[in-house]
Amino acid sequence: MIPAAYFFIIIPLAAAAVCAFLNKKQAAPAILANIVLACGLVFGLTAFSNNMGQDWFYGQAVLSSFMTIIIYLVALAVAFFAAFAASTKRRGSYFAMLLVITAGMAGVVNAADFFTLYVYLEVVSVCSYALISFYNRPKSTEGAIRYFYLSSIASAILLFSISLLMVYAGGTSYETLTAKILATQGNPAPLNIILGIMALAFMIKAGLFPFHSWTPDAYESATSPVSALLAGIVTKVVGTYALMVVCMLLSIINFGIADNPVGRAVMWFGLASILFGALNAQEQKDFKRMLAYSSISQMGYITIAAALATPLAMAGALFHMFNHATFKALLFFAAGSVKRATGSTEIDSMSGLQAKMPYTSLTASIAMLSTAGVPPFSGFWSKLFIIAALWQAGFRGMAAVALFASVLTLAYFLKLQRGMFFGKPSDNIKNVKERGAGFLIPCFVFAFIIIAAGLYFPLIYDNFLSPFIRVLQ
Amino acid sequence: MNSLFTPENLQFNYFAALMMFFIGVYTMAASRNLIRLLIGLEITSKGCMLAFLAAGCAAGNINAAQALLMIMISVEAVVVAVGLVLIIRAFRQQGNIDPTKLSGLKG
Amino acid sequence: MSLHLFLVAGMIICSLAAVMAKRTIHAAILLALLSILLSAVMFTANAPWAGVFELSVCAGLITVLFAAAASMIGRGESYAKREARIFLWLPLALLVFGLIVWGVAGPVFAPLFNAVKPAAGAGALMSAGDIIWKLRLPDLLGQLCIFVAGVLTVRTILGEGKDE
Repeated sequence: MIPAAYFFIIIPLAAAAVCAFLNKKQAAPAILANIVLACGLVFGLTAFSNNMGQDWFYGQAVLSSFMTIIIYLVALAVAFFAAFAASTKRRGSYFAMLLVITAGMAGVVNAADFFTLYVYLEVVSVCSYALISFYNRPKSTEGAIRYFYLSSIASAILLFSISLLMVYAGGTSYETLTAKILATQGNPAPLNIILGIMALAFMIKAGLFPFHSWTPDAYESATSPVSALLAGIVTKVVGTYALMVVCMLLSIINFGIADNPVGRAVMWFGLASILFGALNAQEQKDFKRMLAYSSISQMGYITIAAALATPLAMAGALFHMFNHATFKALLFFAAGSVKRATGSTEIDSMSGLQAKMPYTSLTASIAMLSTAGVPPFSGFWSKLFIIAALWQAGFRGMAAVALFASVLTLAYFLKLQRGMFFGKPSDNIKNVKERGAGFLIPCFVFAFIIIAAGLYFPLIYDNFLSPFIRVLQ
Repeated sequence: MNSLFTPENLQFNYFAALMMFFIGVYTMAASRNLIRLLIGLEITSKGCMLAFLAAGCAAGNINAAQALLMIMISVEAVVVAVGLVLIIRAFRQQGNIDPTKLSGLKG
Repeated sequence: MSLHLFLVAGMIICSLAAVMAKRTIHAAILLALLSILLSAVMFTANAPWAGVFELSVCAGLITVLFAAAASMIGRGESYAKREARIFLWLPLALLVFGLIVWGVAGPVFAPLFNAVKPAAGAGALMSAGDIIWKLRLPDLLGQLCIFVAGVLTVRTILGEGKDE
């Protein structure tokens, strides 16, 4: 771990300890959390510009600092939204947990060792259980319990494969492992198996298709800020970021060839999730549940690109991770606003919300179009990268399916938009009013990022993605 | 004492660790009692600890394995405590700890 | 060698007994016995500090936690007949799994395991405490994080959560 990375862990941790003592206060914990996260974001941007040239592990420094920025961005937006949306008497605990989970995620992305990765993954998981079951509802407890068992099995699998790595390389750090691989350009079979087991663990943690059963329940029953945090960044950090690290190692083992057996297997899992999520989202009656299935589908896109592991695909995965963090968090914020305004998130129970909540509707439709990959929004570019990388590497069938699934995405979001926001206002929303600035500012910031990243894509490409691609090549 | 862990022995240790892993996973798949599920989880993690011990001996660096094991044990304790607390809450809300009888089981 | 074999075999039998025990409290006690056996293995393998940790935390603290939870839930737990029948298949399933592993994974990993030479690396000169403080500082920080997270979680979940 580079020394600067300690900052991202120690400061939120200290702030969390302070917040825990301010349990009964209303404003103080929220203000403290927001200030700390904003400082972290600024510091993260500085650290990124300093790290740009380094390549101590196959682009890992660039990847880490980019992920740190995304983590702090989403965490800040969630903390800001929660400051207005979370109505609880235990705000100290709430914001303390938000800060600890941020510290844990910063630890995950800055780890330079698989065992460190495991320790911070457990930090993130423990905080997630508490945040999912923060309110005393049977459904949320159940979602948390299911997540607990799946995630713990994944941790055990991860530990087993780390111990095998220790036998193989004599250590657990990425550096030792890379050096060992480069020194013995021999039989890749045992290492492929070890990293395959590890990839399985991360796929369980990411909530991909066969292991998805906890996601819809957890996202639906948790409060909207928590769902935004979980869908926007937590599953990405504990699942797909770690998967990207594993896949980078895999592509070193297999001499930079994209077509390795483990990578190919992971790609099939990704493809299955894309289709499963998109098809299931069509039938959902609840806004948040639909978003949960949509998340499964988008995680599939990131996974398929990460497993392909060519420089173009990696850049696509990274950019899609960033985009998904912004648009999915925005959609969950919109769901939270709707829930607060009307008391429900059932799609059929209302229509014509646009007349009553014009700004929420506008930002939500921007996010939906970006999710579906409609130009000129940012989601278009990342999907283009992923599909182009698949096509280039010869996986043409997969590219076609990925393209088809993005049409499906557009279909279910149009259905949602027509049912909920457009049309004549129904009677039960007569007294609904637009939410206040506290709810709208995070939505507008994210909508601005989505449009700006789409329109000024060349700028993003030059400054954020091309250093990464250059390091990979 | 390091002679306990010869290469053949390493294989035996890993075999034993994998057996314990299987027992734990089987329990987690088959049991209908959340506490027993947690016991299965503990058994898998004990298997992992045995694997780490064997790996440390094999790499000739038992102290490194020892350091990892110490951290792992304390992490494990926190995870088990959190799991038990979740189970107690589920019991208070629903009156049973059968994973198949919890309310919204779908998907 | 034979002592080691005996201890490890005991661990497998112990874990089988723990999951097949009828009452949760017996299962928790058998789990404690498993921890004691594992710490004995650690002592014989020259890892006394890890052994002490295992003995005090896993055999002591975790058993107390399990016993407390089992008594709090009380008669809510029941050992269903169907479950007992499923667990009767466990030894057989274990045997089949063992044969498969021995036959399939064994040959793949045998070269890896046989290539290992127990050479004293540079790290072997450092004590476990030194390794933790000098090489494993991020992990130690992570441990601090997880303690904070654990305390907050227990407080949140067990505390009054009636507000909406």
